[in-house]
Amino acid sequence: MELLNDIKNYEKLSPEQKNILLAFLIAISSLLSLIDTIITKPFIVKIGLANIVTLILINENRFKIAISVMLARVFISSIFSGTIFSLAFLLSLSGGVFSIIFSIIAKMFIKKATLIGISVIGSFFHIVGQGLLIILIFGFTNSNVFIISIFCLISIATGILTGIFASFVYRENNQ
Amino acid sequence: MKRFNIIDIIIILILTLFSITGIFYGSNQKEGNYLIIYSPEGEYSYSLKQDRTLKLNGKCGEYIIQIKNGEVSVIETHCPKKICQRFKISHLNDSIVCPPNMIMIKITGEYKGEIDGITE
Repeated sequence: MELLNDIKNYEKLSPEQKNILLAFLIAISSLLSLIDTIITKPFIVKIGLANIVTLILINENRFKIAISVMLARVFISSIFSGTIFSLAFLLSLSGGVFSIIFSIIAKMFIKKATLIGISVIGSFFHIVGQGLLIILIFGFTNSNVFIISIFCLISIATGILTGIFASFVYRENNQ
Repeated sequence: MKRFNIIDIIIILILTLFSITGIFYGSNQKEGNYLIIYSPEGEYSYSLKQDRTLKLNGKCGEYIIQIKNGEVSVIETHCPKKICQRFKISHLNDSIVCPPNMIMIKITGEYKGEIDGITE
């Protein structure tokens, strides 16, 4: 896959090529996010397919690109799904910020963690970020904590799933 | 490339432990002592310990609430969808809201003096 090689050799690219690469990554991430919304509309919980791009960028130590792709993706996907500047947008922004901060910390300090470990940490802290916003708005009650914990448990499963999907990219590359 | 290793399993186990702790913490509901009713006629407060039936007047007509064994439920309402009749509340911070009637019933831990109502 050329895209993966471009990410690996990011420093050698010309400024134009860097812009094109960034646009490509944002487009892929937004499209995956949209597909995710369409597939999982009836089930409330999303799988987090858009996180695949961010995961691969973090795995290649491209933290700055990962953050900018995540922020752009949150804005673009909320324009597409029509939830921009609503509570859903704020939730996805706070979740995304928390997720990326803790994924980067995990990548930096837990050297042996593979894609699946980073992905699980990312999706877990996505829910933690959303939960903190919910607690900030609606108050710290037991029923809030209960529902957030159930979503945390589900997020671990979806995190494993996203990690497996992301590792398919590397398997394709090796063949 | 190895896909899975022991560190991943440890991460998953720790996070699972955190969320299970959260579930246990959250399912430990505290009991409430008092009931606050916000209605178009004013605010009332009642104790949950005594069984009784309350008659209120909402925007859609008569509205009857029952307190039985510390549980609160709506017996009669004349609002269009009657969603408020489905619930039984007994825990702290639980609430029943009926927008067409402009009535809200909420359970609190202690009686607040500033509410101008009746406590019998």
